[in-house]
Amino acid sequence: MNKKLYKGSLQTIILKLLEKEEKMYGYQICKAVKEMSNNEIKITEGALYPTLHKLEANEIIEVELKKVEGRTRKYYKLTEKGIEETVNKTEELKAFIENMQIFLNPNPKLI
Amino acid sequence: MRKLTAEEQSNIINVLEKKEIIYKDLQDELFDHFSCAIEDKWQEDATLSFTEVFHDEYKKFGIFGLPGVLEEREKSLSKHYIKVFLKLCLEWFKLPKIILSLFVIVAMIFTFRETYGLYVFKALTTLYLLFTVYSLILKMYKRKTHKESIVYLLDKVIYQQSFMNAFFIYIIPQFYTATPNFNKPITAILIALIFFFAFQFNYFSFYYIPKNRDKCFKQYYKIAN
Repeated sequence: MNKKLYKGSLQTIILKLLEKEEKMYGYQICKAVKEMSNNEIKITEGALYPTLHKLEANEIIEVELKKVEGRTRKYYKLTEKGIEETVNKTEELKAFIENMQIFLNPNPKLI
Repeated sequence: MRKLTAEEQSNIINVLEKKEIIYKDLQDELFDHFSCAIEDKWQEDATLSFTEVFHDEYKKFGIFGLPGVLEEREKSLSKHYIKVFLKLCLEWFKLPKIILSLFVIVAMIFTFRETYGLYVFKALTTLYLLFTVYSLILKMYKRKTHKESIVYLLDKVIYQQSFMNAFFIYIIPQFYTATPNFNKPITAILIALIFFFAFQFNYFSFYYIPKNRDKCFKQYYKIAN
C-alpha cells in the first residue's frame, strides 16, 4: 500500500474516529485504524503523535487525563471547533475522491 | 494476561528520559503507548521477550524517532502557549486597571516634560535594567539548581518567555545614551509608553504568568476522575 497516498488524510482519519468514538487515546487510534482497514492502513506512531499534537495546538481536539491501571492516560476528544473542522475535512476528501474518479473512469470522448 | 513488571516500566521511562522526553505530559503519553503496545503483543504471544517487543514498538516511531515527536510537539504547542499568555495578559486590562495605567502613562509624560525629567528618566532606566537583569539571572540560577523545575512544556515556555524582556533591555539604553530631548512632547509620550510597556511586561513575565501557571494548566488539561 502506497503510504504517501494516505499521508494527507491522516488528520481526517483521526477526526472521523473521534467523531464516532467521542474520546480515544493514541494507541487506541493506531489500533482502530489498523483493524477497520484490515491491516491495510498502518499509521506510524512517528506520524500519529505529531498530528494529534498539532490538532491539540489548533484547539481542534482537547485533552482529558485519566488514571488507568496506575498509568496516566491521555484521551483526545473533539472541541466544537473540531466538530466543524471534521465536517469540512470530510467534504474536502469527498470532493477529492469525486475528482479522482474522473481520471479513474475517464469519458472515452475526451481521450 | 502478562503485564509489565516494575523493572520493565523503569526501563521504558529510562529510554524516554535518555531521548530527552522530560516533559511529564509527553512522557506519560508515550509510556502509556509503549505499555499498551507491549502488553497487547503479549496477549498474542506471552513468551516474547520485553526487549524484543519494546525494540519493535520503538522502531515504529520511524527514522526521526522520539526526538522527532518531541520537536514537533514543542513547535506546535509553544506558539499556542504564547497565545494563551497573551490572552491572559489582555484579560488583566480591565477597569479600573485601564484607568490606572492611563494615569501612570500621563504622569510619566508630565514628569519627563519637567526640568528634572531627564534625571527621572535616567533613574527609571537604571532601576529597570538592574531589576530585569537581576530577575533573569535569578531565574537562570533557580533553573540550574532545580529550584524551579520544568515539569511540563508549559513550564519551559513560561521560563523562556521571560527572556523576551531582552527586547526592552536593548531598546531602553538606546534612549539613555542618546539623552532624549523632552522639549518635544512626542519624545516624552514615546518614552513614557516604552517604559510603561517595559515595566508591564516585566510584571507579566516574572510574576503574573508564573502565578497563573496552574490556571493555564487546568484550562488545558481536564482531569477525569
